[in-house]
Amino acid sequence: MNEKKSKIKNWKCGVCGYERSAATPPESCPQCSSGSGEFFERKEKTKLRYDGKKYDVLLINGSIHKTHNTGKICDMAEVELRKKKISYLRINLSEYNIMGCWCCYSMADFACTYPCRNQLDDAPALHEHIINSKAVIVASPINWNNMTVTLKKFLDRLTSIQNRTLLGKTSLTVNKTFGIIINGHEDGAMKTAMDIFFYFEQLGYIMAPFGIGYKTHGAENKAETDNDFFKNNESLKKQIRGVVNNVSEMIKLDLEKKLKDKIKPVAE
Amino acid sequence: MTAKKDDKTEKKSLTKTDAQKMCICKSCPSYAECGDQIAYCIGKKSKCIKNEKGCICMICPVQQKMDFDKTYYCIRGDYKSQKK
Repeated sequence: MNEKKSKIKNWKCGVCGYERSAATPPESCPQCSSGSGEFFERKEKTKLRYDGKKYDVLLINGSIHKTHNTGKICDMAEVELRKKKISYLRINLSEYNIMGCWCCYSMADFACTYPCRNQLDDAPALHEHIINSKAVIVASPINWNNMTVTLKKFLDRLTSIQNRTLLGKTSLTVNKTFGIIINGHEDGAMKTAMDIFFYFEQLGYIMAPFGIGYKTHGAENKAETDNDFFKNNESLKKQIRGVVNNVSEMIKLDLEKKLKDKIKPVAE
Repeated sequence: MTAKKDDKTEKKSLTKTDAQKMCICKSCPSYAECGDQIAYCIGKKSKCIKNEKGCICMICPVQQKMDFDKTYYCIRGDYKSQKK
């Protein structure tokens, strides 16, 4: 009996917050149907601190689910990054506490600063990862022909980095590289990719050639078949390999160093 | 719209006394009174401030003057120690 009790853990769904005490997490969350992979052992969360480590690529999973379709695409991207011997850090945005942008900029130009005025959540530490990596690959699903709110909240918080150029300060992200991979059930992939593109363009990033990969399954198919479709689709795998390859080749060019102080910022 | 021109003004160093006159530590949501010397960015950490309840260092005139870019100096340490 004591042995059984000691194996009971407090599980929490990372998507909806549902909690259960059990030896293992439920196969499917009763509140949101997310799979068992979305559960984590509930512990007191401490604010993320930047650990000083630098990576070539920041691989960002912009989905509310860390292990579902976009998660699987990130898994495949990780395999390709390892094959290329590119150092990377994968970030599942849903695992972090990221508040909405306070829009300090709307009060006055100078009110939006770097470091960000909001030091209450995990975004400042993620900012340091953005600044200290050479490239970003963003993977996102499609919600209503657009990125998820999870991803948008994070991208909006990059305003504090972007606003430096408006204030006449050195850009911390100019000449870095990025790529985008989109997956979705119905349509809206290219629109979603372009919405994401805009953020990085305004931050001074250079998109890798053929830097957008995407795949949608189709409204005629059941959502529960998406996972198998994306996992096994050869065209998607080719796109992921392509985006990772192209971002990797851009990193090798070291444009960040070669173009240093040569690019004139043009910002909103 | 193009970005404004760079500010080429040289950054001067600040004495601790001048920094303490300029600094805004006492307005901060994290600040707690315990007899510390403020201007933590160029001084010692606070003896009593332990919880990160928000930070206003980024708009402090000392931060602007010295071109610092860190936060929570009262808890995490002065600029030099955080820069390492």
